[in-house]
Amino acid sequence: MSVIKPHRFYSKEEIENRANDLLMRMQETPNFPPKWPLDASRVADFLDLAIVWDIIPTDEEAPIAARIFPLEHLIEINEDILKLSEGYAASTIAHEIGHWVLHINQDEADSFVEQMALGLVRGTEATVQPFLCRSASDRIYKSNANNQIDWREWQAQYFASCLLMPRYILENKRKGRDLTNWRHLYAMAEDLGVTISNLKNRLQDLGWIHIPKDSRQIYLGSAAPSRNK
Amino acid sequence: MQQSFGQLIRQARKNKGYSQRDLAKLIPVDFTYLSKLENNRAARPSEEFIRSLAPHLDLDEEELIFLAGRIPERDEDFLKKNYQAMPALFRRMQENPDFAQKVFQEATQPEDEEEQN
Repeated sequence: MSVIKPHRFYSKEEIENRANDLLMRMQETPNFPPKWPLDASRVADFLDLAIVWDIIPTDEEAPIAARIFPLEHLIEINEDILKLSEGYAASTIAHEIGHWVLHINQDEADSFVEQMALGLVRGTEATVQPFLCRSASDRIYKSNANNQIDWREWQAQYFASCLLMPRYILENKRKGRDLTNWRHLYAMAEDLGVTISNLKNRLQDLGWIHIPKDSRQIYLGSAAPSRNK
Repeated sequence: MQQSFGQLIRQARKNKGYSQRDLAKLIPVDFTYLSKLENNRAARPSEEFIRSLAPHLDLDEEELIFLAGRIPERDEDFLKKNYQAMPALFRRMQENPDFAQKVFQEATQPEDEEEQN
């Protein structure tokens, strides 16, 4: 078994359940009940994952938004992200947590560390490459996932959306708001501490809104909660 | 295993229910600096910074200063006055754990207890 899990299919429902389960466990733990806008770094604290904001040099391929060091239980976030919006920073942390939950074999990582401490793993064997994210972005929603890396990115981003915008919170935040009005959506996004793209994608995934391709017009989706409730 | 400065403040912050941003606002300092301190990636913090941090985490300021690898200024004066004896004292403590233990015990004993003895 490897520290990075082999690629597997997760349904949307399964990913959402994982995120909800995490929020529920936090709810039941003193000091950790989630509040909105959700500070994703508190979720990392809950999972005993350290977060460090630091300079991550661009390699030969492209800028690196964040990376996980599984053996150290550490998420490193590129400080450059702070030049973007708060919502983008939240999304990036939540995205990395998605990787941690869905794609890292945590038991294997801990066992590896124990073996290293006992001197059972040496030299190059003792190197586990960090799990890299070149962009914790909305881009993955806009393009088709073409390979396993794309799918992993999609899964992590979907997890992030479910974590930052669970249905019951969205139901609460949409009260008194018109989901077909961009101004209202921007206000909701601010309330939730997410980017407008994150919110738009989430509402479309839920079938609450529908925006035709290349259009700015928002239509209520078939699953949209009644505006009168 | 003994905690490092970074590990100790991270654990204390979590125990208090603060996020890095929450705590950074109280001190105040940039939360990215705090994240580096917690992960032992920042330069040794100043005594002034540690004194502003400790009360928010219910940690002992002096102990935290030592853990960060610093000596409190007021102790520094004492050490300077007695600098010639210090290497021998530290060496003896390192070589003789029983002696070190006795010194630490006496150092942490309340003063009124010392008087009774």
